[in-house]
Amino acid sequence: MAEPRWLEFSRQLEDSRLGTTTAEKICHVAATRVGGVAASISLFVDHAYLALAESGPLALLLDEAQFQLGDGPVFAAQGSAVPLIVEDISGTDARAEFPAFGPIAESKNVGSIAAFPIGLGTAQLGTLNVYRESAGPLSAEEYANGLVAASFALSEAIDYQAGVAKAVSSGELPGRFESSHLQIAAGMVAEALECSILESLVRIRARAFADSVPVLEIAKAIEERTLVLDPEQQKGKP
Amino acid sequence: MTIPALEEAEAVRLASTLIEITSSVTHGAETIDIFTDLAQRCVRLLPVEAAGILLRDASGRIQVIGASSPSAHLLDLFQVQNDEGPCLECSNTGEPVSDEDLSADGPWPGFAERARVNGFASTYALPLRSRELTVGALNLFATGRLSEGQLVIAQALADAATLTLMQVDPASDLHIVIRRIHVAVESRNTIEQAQGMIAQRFSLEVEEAYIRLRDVAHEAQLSLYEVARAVVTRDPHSPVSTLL
Repeated sequence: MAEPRWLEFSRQLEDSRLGTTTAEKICHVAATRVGGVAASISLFVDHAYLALAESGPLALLLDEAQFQLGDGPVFAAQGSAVPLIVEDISGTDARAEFPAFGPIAESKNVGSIAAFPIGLGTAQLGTLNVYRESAGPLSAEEYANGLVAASFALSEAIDYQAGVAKAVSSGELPGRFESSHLQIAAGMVAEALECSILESLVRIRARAFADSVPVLEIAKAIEERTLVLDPEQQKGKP
Repeated sequence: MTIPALEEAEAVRLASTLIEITSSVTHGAETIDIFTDLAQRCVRLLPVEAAGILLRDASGRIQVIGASSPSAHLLDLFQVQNDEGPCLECSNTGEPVSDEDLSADGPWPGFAERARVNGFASTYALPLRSRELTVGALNLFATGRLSEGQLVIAQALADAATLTLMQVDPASDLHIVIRRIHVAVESRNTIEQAQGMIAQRFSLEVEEAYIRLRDVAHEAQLSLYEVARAVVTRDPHSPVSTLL
């Protein structure tokens, strides 16, 4: 059996010389593996968009253009767990859907855009965006690679929201928040504190950081009811 | 192998089940329903006590998608978390795997012990195949042994369910299997989040919360995912809020 994609991604991340932070490295590797010229991680936090990381100036420009115009795939993909693929940004459909952003992307020689959701179930944090030069569909391999990149980005995005410095290796990144224990614990915290699933995940992450233990350990303790999160506990930034 | 004659009633029941499965259309969230239904259909049609479903996601990780009972769910989860068990081997090789003794000297001592503690005597894992690709496995747990013919029936049900993953989507004919599995995993995440909320609200065990959600789904004639979604999003307009 071939090496699983998450492992390939993880190795490429370790070897990547491009980018300083892990989030930037994820963007570079994502751009390469999804056939793009640029990539970014954009988050929707407290009703505002922000670029968490980008592969370079082109991705930053395209992200910020979307945020300023309130138009573009970043918005269209928001809240959905299904990737949004704009196969031809200069095509009729895209022109109608993205009247303000479309021409800007085209002027920067972008032909197609893929936005992969960063989230868990109904709890969606943002998207991993890949900007490609040529128009046309993604190959199945590129599509799968985008989902893997988004799963790596999820870990970074929750860490960012919890306001914690990460101390995990790239091999641990994917799946760190994706286990059943995390979902169940997040549901329990959301019910107890009357907050969203997303806020619960962020609180669990912040608590794990404060206690210097893996998030999974906190999740299991909540699930077994040996730990109750304090509503007053610092819930992280920003 | 010798093929025993099916009673007409049994044959009709089997044929109708196959028709029901293949006529299901998966758009998105329904993928998870088709596979949890598959687990339940196996329990109804075959002498098995429980069944579970594992699918491989885009990153290459095996995910527990659903099960007919909490014990099967936990046994499947055990295999994934401990990286051992017949269902994992089957998902990796694409070949059927069975353990009819669940003995401590077998290839998966940890898993076998857990399965015995849960009252099972044998386990079978059948590949979920979509053309050349093995997308996961169906895990059956029984107190006795299955005949070759019964395993053929189980594989037919599994193939029928997997076929629905390949149905062409009018919007796109590409990467359908990958997307549908991704959506199934996200649907499962939502169901687990809802389980946590219900467990907390009514001071239930997580498994009891699952049964509660399933009962409400039955009562409201909604899918388990739809109920879970209403719980997690705290949808005030959903009939779920009055049924819980």
